[in-house]
Amino acid sequence: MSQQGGGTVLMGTGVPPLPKNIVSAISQIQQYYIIEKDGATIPKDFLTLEGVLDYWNIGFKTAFKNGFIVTILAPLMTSVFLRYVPIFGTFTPTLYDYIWSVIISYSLTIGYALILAYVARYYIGDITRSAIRNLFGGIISGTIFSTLLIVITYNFLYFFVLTEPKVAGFLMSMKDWVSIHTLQRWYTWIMGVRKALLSASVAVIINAIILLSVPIVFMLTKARKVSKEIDNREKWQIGV
Amino acid sequence: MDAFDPFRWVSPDKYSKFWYYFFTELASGFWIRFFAFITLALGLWLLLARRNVQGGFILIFLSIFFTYGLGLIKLLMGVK
Repeated sequence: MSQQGGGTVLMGTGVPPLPKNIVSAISQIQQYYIIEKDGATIPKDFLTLEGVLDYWNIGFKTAFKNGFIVTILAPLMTSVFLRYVPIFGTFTPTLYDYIWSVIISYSLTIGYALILAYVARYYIGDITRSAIRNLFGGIISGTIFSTLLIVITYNFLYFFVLTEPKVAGFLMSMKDWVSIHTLQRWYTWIMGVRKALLSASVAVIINAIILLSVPIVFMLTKARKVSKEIDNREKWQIGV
Repeated sequence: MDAFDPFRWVSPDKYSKFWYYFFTELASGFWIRFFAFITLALGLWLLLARRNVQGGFILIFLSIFFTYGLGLIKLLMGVK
């Protein structure tokens, strides 16, 4: 049973089903928003501790998965710029190919950021805000954690694993099976990709900035607009 | 297992010609860029406008494959 105009919404005795993934979390946030937008209130304890943690977990996992994909795409992008990895089957990319490698590397992040921006405009009402805060908290933590992990890994690979003596030593151990000419080509390629890892760590940081800033900007602008609309509507209703 | 042998249905010459055509013509140049663009655009449209997360991600991954994957296969197969 629900009552509009500042009434309390009785949600029954059951606990709401816990969201399983980002889509179900967004759907639940939308439901809370629809209820709270019209001035109805949901009891504060409606979102249990488990529910709050679940939103945080979903946010963390979403950010972490995105970070994992970026771990692969960022070095590919920087290697295309240094001409060590083929794009569309060629080592001599055109201007379009360079731009495309940037677009494709950030496409998933932009997709996620826009989905989150879509949720951010619902930032009104106690329960809706609590759900969004926890979802975003998980995303912020997941993004920071995965970015740090990736940046540390790339730099570790650059300074300690893919060093010139180590790579040369490893390749030389294969000289009985592979020709010296091929080993030399491999060495040049590995050293090139090693250089690309340093630029990739900067690309990963840019990725994190995009993922975090787009929804926050939307949250600050859109949610404020919706709050104003609700205030105006309430004033208009009182006036009538 | 003979039924699964492509050379039973198509001559080896025709079969290898098709794959060489595929990697030299379709997996490079205009068409691969076109497929990559279309799949990414469709993927983002499904993701953002239709809110179909699974479909959107599948198409985005397909676009990533068109961008890097076919070039890599080409490289491994030694097709110039």
